[in-house]
Amino acid sequence: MKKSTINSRMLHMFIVLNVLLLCVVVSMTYFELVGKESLMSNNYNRRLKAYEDGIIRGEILDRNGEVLAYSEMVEGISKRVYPYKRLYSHVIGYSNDRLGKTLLEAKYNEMLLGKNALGLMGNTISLVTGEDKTGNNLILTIDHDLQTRARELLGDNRGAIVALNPKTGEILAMVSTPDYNPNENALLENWDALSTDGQSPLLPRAVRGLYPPGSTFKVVTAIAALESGHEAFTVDDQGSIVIDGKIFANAYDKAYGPLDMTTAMAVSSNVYFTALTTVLDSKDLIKSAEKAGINRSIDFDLATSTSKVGKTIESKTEYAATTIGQGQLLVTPLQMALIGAGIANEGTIMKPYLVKSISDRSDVVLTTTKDSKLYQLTDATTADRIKEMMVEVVKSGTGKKAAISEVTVAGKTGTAQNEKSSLGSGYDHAWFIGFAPAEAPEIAIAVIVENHAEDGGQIAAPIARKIMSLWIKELNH
Amino acid sequence: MDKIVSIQNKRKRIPNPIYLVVLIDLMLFGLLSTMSGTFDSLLMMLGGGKIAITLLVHVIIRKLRMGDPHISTLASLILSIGLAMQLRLSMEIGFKQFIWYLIGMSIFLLTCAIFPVLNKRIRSIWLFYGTMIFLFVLTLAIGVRINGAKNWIIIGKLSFQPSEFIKILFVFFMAAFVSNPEALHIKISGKRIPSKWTLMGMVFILLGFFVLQREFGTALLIFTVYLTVVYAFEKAVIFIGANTALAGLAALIAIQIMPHLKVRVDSWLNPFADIAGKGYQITQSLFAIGSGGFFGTGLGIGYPHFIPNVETDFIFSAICEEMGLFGGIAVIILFMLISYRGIKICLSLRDPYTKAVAFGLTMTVGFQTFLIIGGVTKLVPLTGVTLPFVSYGGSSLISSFLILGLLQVLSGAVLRGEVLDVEKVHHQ
Repeated sequence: MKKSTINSRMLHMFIVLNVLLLCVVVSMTYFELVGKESLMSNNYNRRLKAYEDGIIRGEILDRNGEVLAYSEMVEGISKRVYPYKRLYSHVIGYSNDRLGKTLLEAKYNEMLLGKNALGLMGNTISLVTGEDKTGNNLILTIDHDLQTRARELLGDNRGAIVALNPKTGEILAMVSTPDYNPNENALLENWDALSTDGQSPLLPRAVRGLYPPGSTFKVVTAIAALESGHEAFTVDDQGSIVIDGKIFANAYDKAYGPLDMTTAMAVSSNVYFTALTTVLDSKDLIKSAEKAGINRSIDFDLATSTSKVGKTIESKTEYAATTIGQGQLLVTPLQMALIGAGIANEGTIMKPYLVKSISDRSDVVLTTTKDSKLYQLTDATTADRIKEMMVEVVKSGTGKKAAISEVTVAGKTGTAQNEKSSLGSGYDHAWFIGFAPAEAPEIAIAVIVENHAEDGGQIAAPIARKIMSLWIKELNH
Repeated sequence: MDKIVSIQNKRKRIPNPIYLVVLIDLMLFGLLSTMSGTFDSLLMMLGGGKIAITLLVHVIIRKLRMGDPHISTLASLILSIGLAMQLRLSMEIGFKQFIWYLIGMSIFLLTCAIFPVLNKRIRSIWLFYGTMIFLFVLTLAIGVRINGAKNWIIIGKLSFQPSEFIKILFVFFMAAFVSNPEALHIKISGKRIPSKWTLMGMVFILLGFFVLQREFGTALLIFTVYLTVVYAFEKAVIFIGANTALAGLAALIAIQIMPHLKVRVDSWLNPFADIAGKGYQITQSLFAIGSGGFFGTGLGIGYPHFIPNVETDFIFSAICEEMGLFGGIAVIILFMLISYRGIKICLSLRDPYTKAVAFGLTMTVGFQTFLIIGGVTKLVPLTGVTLPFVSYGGSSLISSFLILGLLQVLSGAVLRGEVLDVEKVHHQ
C-alpha cells in the first residue's frame, strides 16, 4: 500500500470536513441576512420583552404638554400608566405584557422604546452613566380639554366624534364610545367581559366603525350634481317620490313644495336628492364619492376601515338610496369628518394625523409631522357653493341647533336607517358633519350617535356646536 | 541569495502568535472583570492565570522540542473564548470550568510525558475493544440518566461521561486495526471471514450500545470516524457504501420505533410546530443567534440565559449572540485551523498506527465540532455532543485536552523521528 495514496485520501477527508464547516458558515450567514427576519418577532423570543422591561417607555402628551400616558419602573420592570383611564383608550390604545399593543402604542412602538437610530444615542450614554434607558416621547395633535369635553358630551351613548383642523389635518379630538380603562390591572380584570361584550367596547369606532351616512352624504351628491352642471335642477316636493316602484319619503313625510338645491339641502329633502338620479349619472356620483376617499384607503396613524360604495350601481332604487346616504353605502366617522374638512379647505382634504412631533428624553424634537394633501375632493368654486348650502342648513334648516352666536357655522345633519332601525328593534343613527367659522374654518367635525331616539339635528348638532364653540372661543388661541 | 535573506528577514518579523492569545486574554478578562461596574479582582487573577499557563506551556513545548507549537496555541485561543463565555454566564460554573482547565492542562502535559512510554507497549485491538465494552456495561449497570441520555457514571462526588473517553479509545481501536488487520481474522467453521467484516460487526455492536444509552451524537461521531479511517487506510468504497446503507436503514427504523429520536428529527424539520415543547431549545438558540446579528450584542449585554443548556450544548449560540456571527465564524475557523495542523501531523507520520491515531483524533475533533455547531444552527439535527474546549464539563474538557496532548506528542514524534524506528521494528 502506497503511503502517498493514504495521504491523499486523508486530505480528501480533511476537505470534506472543512467544506461541511464552511456550510455552517454559509447557512449562518444566510440566516442572519434572510432567514431570521420572519422569526425574530415570534412571541417565544423573550428577548424583545426583556429589552422592553429594561427600558422606560416614552411618554405620550397632548398638544399642550399634558401627559396622557407614561411609564414608571416598578421593581426593575417598566409599567405603563394611563392617568385619564378610558379617555384615550381609542386613540392611544394600550401596551400590555400579556395582551400586546394596540393603536398608537403599537404603531409607534419602536419610537416609544427608543429602538431606532434616533434614540440609540441617549441609551448608549445611559449604559455608561447607569441611568434607566428611556424611549422617545410622542406629542399628539389632540387637545386634552377638547377631548375631555367631547367624551362628556357622548356620555352613555354609543358613537364617535372626530374633530380636526381642516387646514392642516391635525386631529383635535377623537372619541369612540363605549370605551374601556386601558390601565394594566383594570384591563386584565375586565378582559373577558370586554372581549365578549356585544357593544364592542374594544372597537375604535371613529376609525373602524362602518355606518350608513344618511343625509350627511347629500353633501357628496350635491358636489356630483354641481360638477355635472345640474346646479339649476329643481323639484316640486310633494313629500315622497316613487322610483322604480319604491317609495322614497322625507323625514316625517313633510312636503316642501318647489325646491332648488340650496333649500333642498337646508331642509334635507329626500325627494329632491333621489329625483336627481333622473339627470345625474350614477358613475358621476361614485366618482365624487371616491374623490372623497370612499373605496380608498386613508393613510393614518391608526388603521382605518375603508369606507365603501358599490363600484357600479345597477338598480335604480339602490342608486336613489345611495344619493341620500343609504343602501350599500358605509362610511367611517373619520371619513365624514374629512368630507366636511375638504369643503372647509377649498376642496382639498388634508392628510389627517395624530402625532404632531416626536421628542427625546431631554425634549429635543426629533421629527415633526408636515402637513400634506390627502385627496382633492372638488375644486374651490364647487366647495364654496357647497359651503353656502351648509351655512344655510345651520341658519334656517335642520341644523339650527349647531348655530353658535357670532360665528357662522356650516353643517349637515343626517339620520341614518340601519339594520336595527329597519327591523324596528332600534332607532336610527344621528349624524352631524360641519365646520366653523365658515369664512375661515378652524375646526371640522363629525358626530355620530348610534341608535338614538332623537335625529341628527336634535342630538348630534348640539354636541358639534358645543365642541366647535369651545375650540373657537376658548381653546384655539 | 538576496532573496533567501529577505525571506528570512520577513519570517523574523512575524510576531509569535502566542502574543495574540495573550492580547485577547487581556482584553476578554479585562472586560469581564469590569463588566459589573466595579473591578472584580478574582476575574483578573483568573485571566492572569490563563495567560501564565498559556505562556508556560508554550515555552515548555518550544524548549523541549515537543513538536508543533501552533496546535496548542490554537486550542488556547478557543479556550479563551470558551472560558470568558462560561465566566460571563455564571461565575460559579465559569470558576469550575477554570479548575477543569487547570486539570486538563496537567493531563495535556502528562499525556505528552506518558504516551511515548505506553505507545510501543499497548497496541492490542482487543484491549481497546474490551475496555470500551467494559465502560459501556458499567454505564448501563450503574449509569445515571441526565437529559434523556443514560451516559453518566457518578461515584461519590465525582461524575463523568464514559462516552467522552470511549470516543478516544475508539480511535486507538481503529488505529490498531489498520496497522494490523490480521488480528481480526476469524475462522468460522473453516471459512475465513475477511477482517473488515469482523471490524464492521464489532463497530455496529458499539453503535448498538450507544443507542441503548440514547447517545446518538457520539454514535454518529464514532461512525463517521470509523468511515473516514477506513476510507483513508483501506479505500474500501463499496464496504463504506454498505456500512452507510446499513446504518442509514438502522437509523430509519430507530426513528420509527424510538420516540426520543423521532422528537429530535421532528424538532429539526419544523421546530416551530411545537415551539413551547420539543422545538423550544432549538428555537431559543435561533433567537439568540439572530439577535446577535453580525457583530453581536457585546459581552454581557445579550440574553443567552434564555437558552436551555446554554453552558453545554448551546454555548456556541451564546457566543453568536454576544460576539456576533463574526465571533462564531472565528471559532469555526479556529477549529478548521486545528484540523489543518492535525492533518499536517498525520501526513508526516509514517507508522500506520500513529498515523491512524493522529488522523482519527483530528477527525473526531473536527466532526464533533461540525455536529454540535450544525445542530445549534439547525443545519443538521441536534445530537447533543459538546463543543471541544468550549462546552462546560469536566469529561468533555479532559477528553479534549487528552486529544490535544496526543496530537502534540505525535507531532513531536515527527520531529524526532522516533516513529520511524518503531516502524522499522514493526516491519521486521
